[in-house]
Amino acid sequence: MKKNEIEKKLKKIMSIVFTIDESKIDTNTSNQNIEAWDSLKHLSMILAIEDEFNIRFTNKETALINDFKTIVDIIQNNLKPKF
Amino acid sequence: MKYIDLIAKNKILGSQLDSKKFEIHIISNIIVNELNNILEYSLRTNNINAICVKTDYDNIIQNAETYKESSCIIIFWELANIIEDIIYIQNSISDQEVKTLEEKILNQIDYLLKCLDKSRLVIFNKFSFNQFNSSFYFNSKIEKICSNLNDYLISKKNKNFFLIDLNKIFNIKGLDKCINYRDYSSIKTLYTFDFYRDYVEHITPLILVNNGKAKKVIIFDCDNTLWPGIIGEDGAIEIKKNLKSSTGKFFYQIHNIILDLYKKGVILCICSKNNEKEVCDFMDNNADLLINSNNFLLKKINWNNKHDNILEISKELNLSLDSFVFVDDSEFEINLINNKIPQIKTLLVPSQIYDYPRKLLNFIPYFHTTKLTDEDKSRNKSYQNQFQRESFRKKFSNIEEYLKSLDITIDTYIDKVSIVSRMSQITQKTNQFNLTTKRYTELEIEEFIKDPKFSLIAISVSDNFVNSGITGLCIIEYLDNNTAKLDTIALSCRILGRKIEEVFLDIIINFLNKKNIQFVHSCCVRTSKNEQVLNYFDNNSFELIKTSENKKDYKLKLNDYHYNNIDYIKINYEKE
Repeated sequence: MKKNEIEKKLKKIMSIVFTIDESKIDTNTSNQNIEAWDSLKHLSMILAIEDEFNIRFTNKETALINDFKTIVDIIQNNLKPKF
Repeated sequence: MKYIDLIAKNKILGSQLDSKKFEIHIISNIIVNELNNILEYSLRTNNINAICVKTDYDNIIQNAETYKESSCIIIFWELANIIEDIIYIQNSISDQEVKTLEEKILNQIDYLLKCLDKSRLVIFNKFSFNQFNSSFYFNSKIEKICSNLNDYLISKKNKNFFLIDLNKIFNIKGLDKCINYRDYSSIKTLYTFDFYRDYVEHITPLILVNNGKAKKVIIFDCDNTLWPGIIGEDGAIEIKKNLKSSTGKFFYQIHNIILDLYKKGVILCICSKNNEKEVCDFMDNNADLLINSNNFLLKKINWNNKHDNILEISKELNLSLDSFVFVDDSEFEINLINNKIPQIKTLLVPSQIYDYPRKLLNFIPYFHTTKLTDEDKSRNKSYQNQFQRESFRKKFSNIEEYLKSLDITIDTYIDKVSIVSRMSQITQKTNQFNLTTKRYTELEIEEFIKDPKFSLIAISVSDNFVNSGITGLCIIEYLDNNTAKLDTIALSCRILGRKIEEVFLDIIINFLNKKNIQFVHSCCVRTSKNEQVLNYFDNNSFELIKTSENKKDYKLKLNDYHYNNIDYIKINYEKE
């Protein structure tokens, strides 16, 4: 999956989970600048991402999921074919 | 559907439904937030304006009092989180400590159930230890606690209290698909989306049935749906051979399910593109089939399109389409019905026939009321007689003459305890002739009977053809010594069109007269299904005092009431 496709899907997920406009989400979006990003919403977002991309994050990865850019990287990493 | 799309669609549905809100409180000692959207969506697609109200985490007992008035309470009380890491420390707890813990939980259950005993619907998940169990050959302490607590819950079961066995979902899906081991330790969320989806699928019928949305009719196609093969092409001999093959036994399982539905009062019909005579001959002269054509009340076996046939069935039965289920082996026919009549629930016969009986069984909870009444058991017979009556009616030149010939008798029952189940069922299932469409549980009906401020008049109707059983109910509330309010008037659609509507009102007014009531208040609340009752009070001496969007309020001075006095209907008043 191309990076911009991942970003598009992630924007949609974040906008629905945090109830904010998609246009307000960019690479700088993080748990520091979204008020609604509490621990429950954080979990909802993780589960929604896993469901959307059909992937499963490791414990270590879930701890890193704090900003848009990192999330895209982690998703990309998970979607790489594993040998 | 992806979870994120479900959230978005759920939001849209929530803004579109304008019916009364159905509040659900999910109380738990774990985090179950993701269940909210999935459950709301499932109910909203069934036209229940569900809303999961935010509740405090792990305050099941502390907040029990506040859930008294909720329409529906769902309890996730997980043993795994009753004491932090109990699963791992159980062996170091003494037997005395285990006993004390068990007693504490039993007391809490008692308190909780006492708080919720008037609630309309309580869904309590049975305790389970399976999420973390590790031993196959001896009973762990937690397993013993679990078993004792569940025995206690079963002993406490009452009419509005349903126990759900989560282990059955674990069995179907597998533990790894159900349990979120990764996030449980950090944020106490124990279950996965997969689990919630299955859980919601299991409890949705329970909530629908409790909201007067039970299915009533199931329509089957014939070829490859009731038997293996095509009667018009393969012929009876070939189908008999097929029935004896390895695939045939799955159709016997289907026949047994059908016979069970028949006995429970579900109305069975056939809608098939075939020659009627050929199908009926095959069904009635074939010892190899467990079912026969008499099990099916209406048979639309012709070459018309199935959509029109099903609309006709709905009209003839006088039942709305959202109470129908349709089963067919043709994807084309199923898609046609899904498109043309989306309110019908459909089942496509699976291509792997061994899946068919199990899939059909999954529909059974959508039909069942909480308790089977005598009326359920005799429903098919009663409808058959109704159709005989219809053909008898055609012999008469006018309706009056016909009604006179029926020798209709109405028996009345006042505050009768032995028919509580049926009275509740009338409020839950009657949609068309229902002035206020208020749904009451058996517990609520029992409370009305005990309360001197209420009277309940039920009627049963019989004629030359059939005894329809208890088919009408009026709930009266006394506002003061002179004034009463008609809270509910509901009549089953099986007895409509025979002047019973008018006579029932005579019975009610006569009853109130004897109680020295002088004024009666009543109202008619419009729903999508009760068009036919909108002028009921206008046509029967009541004075319209207020009209709002969906409601008309009426008043009647008892002296002004014009009795309908229909002399050919006999009324047996119950001696009070």
